[in-house]
Amino acid sequence: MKINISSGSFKMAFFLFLSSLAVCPASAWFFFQPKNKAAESILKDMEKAYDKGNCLLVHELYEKIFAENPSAEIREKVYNYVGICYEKSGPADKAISIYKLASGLYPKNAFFSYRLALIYNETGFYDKALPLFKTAIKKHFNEVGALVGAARASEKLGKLGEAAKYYEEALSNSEDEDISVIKEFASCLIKSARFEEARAVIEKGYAIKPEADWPALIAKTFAAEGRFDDASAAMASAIGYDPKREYRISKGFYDYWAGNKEAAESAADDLLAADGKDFLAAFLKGLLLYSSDKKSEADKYFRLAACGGNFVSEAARKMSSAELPDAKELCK
Amino acid sequence: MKTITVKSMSFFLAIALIVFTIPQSWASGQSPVNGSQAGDDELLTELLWPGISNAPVGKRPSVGVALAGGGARAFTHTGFIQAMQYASFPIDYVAGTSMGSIIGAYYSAGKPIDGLWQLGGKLVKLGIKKDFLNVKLLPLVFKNKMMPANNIKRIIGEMFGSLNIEDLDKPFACVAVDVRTGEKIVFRSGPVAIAVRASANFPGFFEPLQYNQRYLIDGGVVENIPVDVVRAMGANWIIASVDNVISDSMPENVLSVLMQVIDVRGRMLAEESVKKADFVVDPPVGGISTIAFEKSIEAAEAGLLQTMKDMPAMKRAYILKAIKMRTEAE
Repeated sequence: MKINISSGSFKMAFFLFLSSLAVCPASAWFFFQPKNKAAESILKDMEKAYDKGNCLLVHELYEKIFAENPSAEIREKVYNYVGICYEKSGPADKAISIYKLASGLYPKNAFFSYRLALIYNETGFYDKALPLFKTAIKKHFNEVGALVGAARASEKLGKLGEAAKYYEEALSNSEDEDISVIKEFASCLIKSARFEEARAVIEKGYAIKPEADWPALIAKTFAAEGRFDDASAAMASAIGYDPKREYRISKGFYDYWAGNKEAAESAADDLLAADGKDFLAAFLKGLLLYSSDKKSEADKYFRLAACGGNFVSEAARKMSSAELPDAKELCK
Repeated sequence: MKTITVKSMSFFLAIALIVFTIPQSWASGQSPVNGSQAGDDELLTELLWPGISNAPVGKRPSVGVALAGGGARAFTHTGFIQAMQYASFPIDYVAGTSMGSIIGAYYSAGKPIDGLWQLGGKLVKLGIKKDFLNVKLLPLVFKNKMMPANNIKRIIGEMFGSLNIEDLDKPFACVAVDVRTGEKIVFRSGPVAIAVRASANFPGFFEPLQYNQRYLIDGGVVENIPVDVVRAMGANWIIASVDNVISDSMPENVLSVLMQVIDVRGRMLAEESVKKADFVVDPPVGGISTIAFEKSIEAAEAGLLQTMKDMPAMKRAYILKAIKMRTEAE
C-alpha cells in the first residue's frame, strides 16, 4: 500500500505529532535519553557500599535508585548487589524473590539462577536446585561452582552416579585443587560402594595435602569390603596424624572384627581409662568379653553402654544377659 | 497467585532453615549429649555394619525382600534395590508379586542394575502398554472372550528366555493364583518366564495362563506383598518394598476403574502383610497409575530416595536383630 504524503490526513497527523512534542513534560523525554545520569551515580555509590560490605546502605540506595527509572542494564546490576546483600544479611526469602524476578527478566544472565540454586541447596530444596545448576553449567557460568552444586544436589537426591560425574568434571575443570571437593567426591564414591575408585581419589588428595582424613577414609573403604586388617592399618595411619577418639575407637572395632582381640581390648581399655563414661569403648569391651564367653563380666560394660545414645543403649540392652532398668534408673 | 506461591515458598524455606540449624541428635529424638556421646549412635552403626553385613548367613540372620505388585508403580523396587546395593545391604532371598516378580526375577538373575533402570523404558518401547490399551469393553462383552497378553508374553520371553528359577543367582519365588480354585500358587522352581508371566497376569481382561493343569492369574489378588512367601523360603528378617498407595488420579475408563478396585483390594491385603515385615519401605508414588510405564524412572527415583532416607533406620533395625548372633559366632 502506498502512502500519499500529500494527502490531507497525513499532514494533519504530522501536525498533531509536532504539537504534542511541544506540550510534552520534560520527564517524558527520559525514555529517549541514552543514559540515566542520576541512576548511574546511585549505582556507583551502591557498588562502593557493596565493596565495603555495607549492605545497609545498599538497601537504602535500592529504594532510591528505582525512583530514577533506571535502565534495564542498571537494574540488572542492582538486582545482583541487592540479592547478594539479602543472602548475607537476610532475609533469605527476599534474596529468593529478587533472584526469581531477575532470572525471569534477564534469562541470559545465569548469575541469578546460580545464586538461587545455591540457596535452594543450602535450605534442602535439592530438586529445585539441580535444574538451575544444570542451566548454569549449560551457560558456562561459574562452571566449577555450578558443577559442585549439581554434584551436591544430585547426591542428596540419591543420584550418586550422576553426582560422581559432576564431582569428577568439577575437579578436572578446576585450576585449584580443592581438598574439600576431593573429600566430598571420595565420600560420594564410598556411599555408592565404588571403593577402588574412592581409594584412587583419596590417594590423589593425600598427595596434595597429607592429613588424617585421607587414611581414615581409606580405612572406611577397606572395612566396607570386610578387609578389617587393612582397615585397622589405615586407621593406625590416621591416628598417627591425629589421635582423636573417633579414630581410636574405629581402629578398636576394626581390630575386633579382624580377630585381633588384644589390640581391640587395648583400644577399649585406653579409652575407658581416659573417660570412664566412654559408652562406645564400654560397648566394645562388652563385645570382647561376651565373645570370650565372659558374659557376666561383659554385662558390667553393657550396663554402662546402656547409658549412651539411643542406639548405643538399645544395642547394649540387646547384648546384656540381664534385663536392664530404664535409663533414668540405670544412669543415676 | 504468584504472590501466594512466593510467600508459601518463603515460609517453607524459613522452616527449612530452622530445621537445618537443629542439632541432629535432637532430630533423632536423642537427648542433647556432651563429651564422648555426641555422634556415637551414627559411629556405632558405621562400625558394627561392616562386621555384620560382610558375614555369611549363619553368622547373621538371612535377609529376604518382598517386592509388591503395582504395575508401573512397582518400579520403585528398582530404586530400592539400587539403594540396597549402595549400602552393601545383604539380600539372601527375593520374592515378588506381579510387576514385583518381574523386577525380582531380573535382579535375582544377576543382571546389572543399570538394566533395571532401563527396563521401564524398554517395556514401553516393546509395547507393554499396548496390551492394556488394546482392551476394549465391547469385544469383551459381545465375544465373551478374554484378551491374549501377547506383548507382555513376548517381552517376558525376551527377558528370561529358557532360564529356570533354580538357576538364578539368588533364591527367588513369585506368587500367582489358580483362578479356578482360588489357591495361592508359589513358584519356587521351573521356567522363570512362565512364573513371572502368571504372577503378572492382570485378571479380568487377559486370558488365564494355563500351566500344569492350572489356570493362573496375577498373584496380587491373594498376596500383593509376599512377606509370608519370603519367610517360608527361609528369610529370618524381611524388608517389604511396597508401592502401597492407591493412585490419586481419577479413573478414566472401565479398565482403570477395575485397576483401581484391584489396588483397593491389594491395599487391604497389604495392611496385613506389612505388619508381618520387619521393615517397610513405602515411597510416595501415588501420582503414578498402574499402567503409566513411561513414569517408571520417576517411580524408581522415588524408591531410591525413600530407601536412602530409611537406610540408617533399616541398618540399625537389622543390627539389633543380628548383633547377638554375630557376636556369638566370633
